[in-house]
Amino acid sequence: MNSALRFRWKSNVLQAFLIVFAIVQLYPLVWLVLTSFKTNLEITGSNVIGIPAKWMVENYKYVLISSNLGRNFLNSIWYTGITVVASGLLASMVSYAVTRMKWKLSKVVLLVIMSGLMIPVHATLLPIFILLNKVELLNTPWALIIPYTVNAIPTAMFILVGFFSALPRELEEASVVDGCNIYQVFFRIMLPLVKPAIVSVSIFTFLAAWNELMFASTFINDIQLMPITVAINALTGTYRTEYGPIAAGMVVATFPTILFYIFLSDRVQKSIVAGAVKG
Amino acid sequence: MSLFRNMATIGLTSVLAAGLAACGSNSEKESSASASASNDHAASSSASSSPAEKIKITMWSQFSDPNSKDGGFIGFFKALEATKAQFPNVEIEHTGLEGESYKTKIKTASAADQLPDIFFSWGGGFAQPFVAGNRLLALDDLVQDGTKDKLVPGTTDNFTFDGKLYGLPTNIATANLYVNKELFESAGAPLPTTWDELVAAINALKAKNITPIALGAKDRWPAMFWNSILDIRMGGTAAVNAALNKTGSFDIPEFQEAARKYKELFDMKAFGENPIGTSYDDSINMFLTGKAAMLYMGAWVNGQINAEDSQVKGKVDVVKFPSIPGGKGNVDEWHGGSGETFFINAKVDHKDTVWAVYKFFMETMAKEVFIAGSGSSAWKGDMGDTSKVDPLAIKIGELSASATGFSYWWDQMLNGNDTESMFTSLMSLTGGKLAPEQFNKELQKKLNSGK
Amino acid sequence: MQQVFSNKKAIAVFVLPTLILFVAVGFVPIVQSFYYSLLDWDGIGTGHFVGFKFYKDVFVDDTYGIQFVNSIWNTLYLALLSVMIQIPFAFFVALVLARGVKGERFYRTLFFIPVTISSSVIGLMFLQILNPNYGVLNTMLEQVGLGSWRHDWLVEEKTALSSIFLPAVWQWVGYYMLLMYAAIKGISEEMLEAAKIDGASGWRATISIIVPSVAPIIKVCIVFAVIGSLKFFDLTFIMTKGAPQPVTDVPSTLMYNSIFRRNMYGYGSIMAVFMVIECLLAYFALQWLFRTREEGVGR
Repeated sequence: MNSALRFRWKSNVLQAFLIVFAIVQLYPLVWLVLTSFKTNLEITGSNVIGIPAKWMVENYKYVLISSNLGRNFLNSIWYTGITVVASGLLASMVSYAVTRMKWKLSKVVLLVIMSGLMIPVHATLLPIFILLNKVELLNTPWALIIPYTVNAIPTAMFILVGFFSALPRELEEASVVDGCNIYQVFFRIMLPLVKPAIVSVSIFTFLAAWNELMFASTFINDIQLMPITVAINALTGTYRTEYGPIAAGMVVATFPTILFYIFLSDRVQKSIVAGAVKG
Repeated sequence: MSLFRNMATIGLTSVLAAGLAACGSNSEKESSASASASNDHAASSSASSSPAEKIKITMWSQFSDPNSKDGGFIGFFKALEATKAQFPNVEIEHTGLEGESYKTKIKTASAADQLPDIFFSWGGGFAQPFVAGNRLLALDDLVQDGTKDKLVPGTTDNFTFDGKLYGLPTNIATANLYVNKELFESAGAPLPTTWDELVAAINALKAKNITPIALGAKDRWPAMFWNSILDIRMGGTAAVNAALNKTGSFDIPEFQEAARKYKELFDMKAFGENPIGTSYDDSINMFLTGKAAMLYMGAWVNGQINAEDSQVKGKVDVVKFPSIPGGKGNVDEWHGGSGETFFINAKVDHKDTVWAVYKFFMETMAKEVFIAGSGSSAWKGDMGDTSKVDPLAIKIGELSASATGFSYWWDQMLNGNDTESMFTSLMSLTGGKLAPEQFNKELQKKLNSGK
Repeated sequence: MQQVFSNKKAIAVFVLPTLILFVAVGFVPIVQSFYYSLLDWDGIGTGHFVGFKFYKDVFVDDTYGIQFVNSIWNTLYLALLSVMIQIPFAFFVALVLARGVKGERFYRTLFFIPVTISSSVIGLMFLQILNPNYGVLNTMLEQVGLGSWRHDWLVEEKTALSSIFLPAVWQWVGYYMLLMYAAIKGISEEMLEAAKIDGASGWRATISIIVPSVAPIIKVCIVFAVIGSLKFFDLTFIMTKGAPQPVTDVPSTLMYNSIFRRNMYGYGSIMAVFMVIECLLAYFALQWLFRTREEGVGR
């Protein structure tokens, strides 16, 4: 009797804690949405917390219709999508090679790529600009896709190395005995096992690429090629910032990332539960 | 495997969607997209086989939002349209980027020698590195064609380096003392014309729980405005300009007194309780909602003051900044001047065409910005229909017609490094960590060290 | 067996494309930064070589009053906060979720939302919350009668640093939580079953089975947290716009300032080089610290 009660108490406390934490985490989104419907005056002082006095749907019109946002939005999806796929694939291949394959330079390669985690990204702006200029890729989608992919690889690799090294070797050994070559081992056996990691990595890569501003502003001149971050930032004037439309733009920009996350993590959950991980 | 199928699906769909969207837009953009940054400018670039040779001019600026209500932005885009209409055989390709991002972009492009044909810039110290790097086209010969005579005297000072001119002015910006007449009346204070009247007004407003002056010191430059105008009143624009271009000194008794007055204002809470924690936007908001009685700011706020949703519409007047007894300056010396311009790339092709387009554009922009109510034109001549111009802009024009001297914003007069040093010292003074006497000494030392 | 795993051609296929791309675009800039750090250059025209002259200035003389060394301590403080508070907390939440509670999917999504919102938004939002005049925090304190606790949070020395780090810690909790959640979920059911049969249950199962199994990921999180703290930029930049005062400076913002505002590209590159070396040292230190634990787990 006693222990049952204690258990229920514990689970209620847990639930309460989760709810509080959820409110804390959710507040920024609520704030953002409310702000996107307010006037500049309200946002910068008159009515910061509350419900907008008048729901300024015009803010959304400003952002969606008068600016080029539709096109920029597509650009972001395109650039980010390719970055996620490319970096995910490349990083998992190298991670697997470093952790599971036997060759002398594995630690060196790991270190070289890990150094990519260390460099402050602003310092790479000019060198990459000069490089892109030399190969005449400036003001093209590749000017963003290539740096984004390269920037994503160290993080992705670091996570994947961690996941790969936690896997038991018996599975690989068993499949080799069964006659698989290394490619089959990798694609058919190992990769599916690190699905949660790949999902996480994809999400992080997506976020970093989607929210990136500095490279996009510097490497792209053509308005038709700019991603959404630049478009929203354009609403920031030197002396007069349209905060309402900016918030509206951010709402428009943030929801895909949330959807992407929900979509991916759901699918992975289903496949794990379905017993994809074999003993 | 299904994971990859998902990823692939997303990837493919996006590529297809974007591809379709891209095909839908003009194919001309595709050819410009595959070209490198700007080196094939002005040569007959278009892939189409049009008979007349269209010249392409690339232009970058910080005017990023075509729908902005900022007077400067409105003026720019109107001028751009007019210029495009005026020169049908020229294709002007404009890229607008927000301020900070814009600065990063042109500096990076300059380092790689990939600047566009025409680009927006600030003069003075900001432009120095571009001049030193030989990136800019000198205009001295070109302005002899009559352009020089059209300009108001003194408006090209910030664009002249080593005696050579590199940019034309558009507008004369001034920092103005805006006063909320209604609040002054309720406090029973007359609009100040001298320092003592200003202090009296501040005390009267405080007694009524009205924040005397709105100040966004968090953004640093609004505080800089106050320091500058006090220096101008105490020492005169000539002395200030001399100190800024290092032929004079900051460490003179007049500026010491100005620094003491600066501190006095903060000590008596003339700027409210938390000026350093208040951003520029916050301060404008305070003024626009009638919470503060005074605001010392550039004319770009005219549009916001008289906007539909402003709570102070029609209640605001502009006065000359008060005089300070014992100061060497006078009320007709203004903080401001002409400091924004566009530069031409030294390597530009089709010089004559570019020059014709450029000078037309600059003059038109000067006019359009004035009509939008954000500053007087630096070009002489007929401004056209001024009946709809904001009354505040007109008043400012009247007040400044008798100006005897200008001293521009310090964070543009000084080069990048000196600007940061100046701000650091200024914020120390503002935060009470630096004594007024030390401030000017430190400023003089830092700005003249090394070289 | 050996042969399959040492197939040279396969290794090349797996590694070379990435390596080449990375060296060209990711590694070369580091080398170039090192070269730039030896120049007196404004980043706009051409520079000239001065060797290590400016290195001394950055760390010792500080003629420009930048206080770079001071900023390093700030990031170390953030690193400490992250490791001591943020990661254990994230682990706890991940554990609770992964073990199955009502609404697991719902909470999991919710907790991750701050991570998806860009730093600019979070920065702006906290600027509003911490605003001394009308911010939520001060207003609430006033209303519950704790008016004397009002502060100018981002300005006053005692509170400024923590006020900047609060949104940072909070933004990334979801990130670490997700990683550890994925790791815990990945532990095969069989292992947990086996442990239960052996008599371990509840918290004992946690400590003896789960922690060692996800140790590699916890290590990853810690490395990220530390390196991320040392490189911290976004939120500081947005919330202080280049700092009204040195107490909230971090190396990244000072580097950005030096390069893009002071037009001292060489000087700023020294800071960049320092940060790379600093992170490398931290990385090695952490690797060494965790070395013994990993070997203990060994399969």
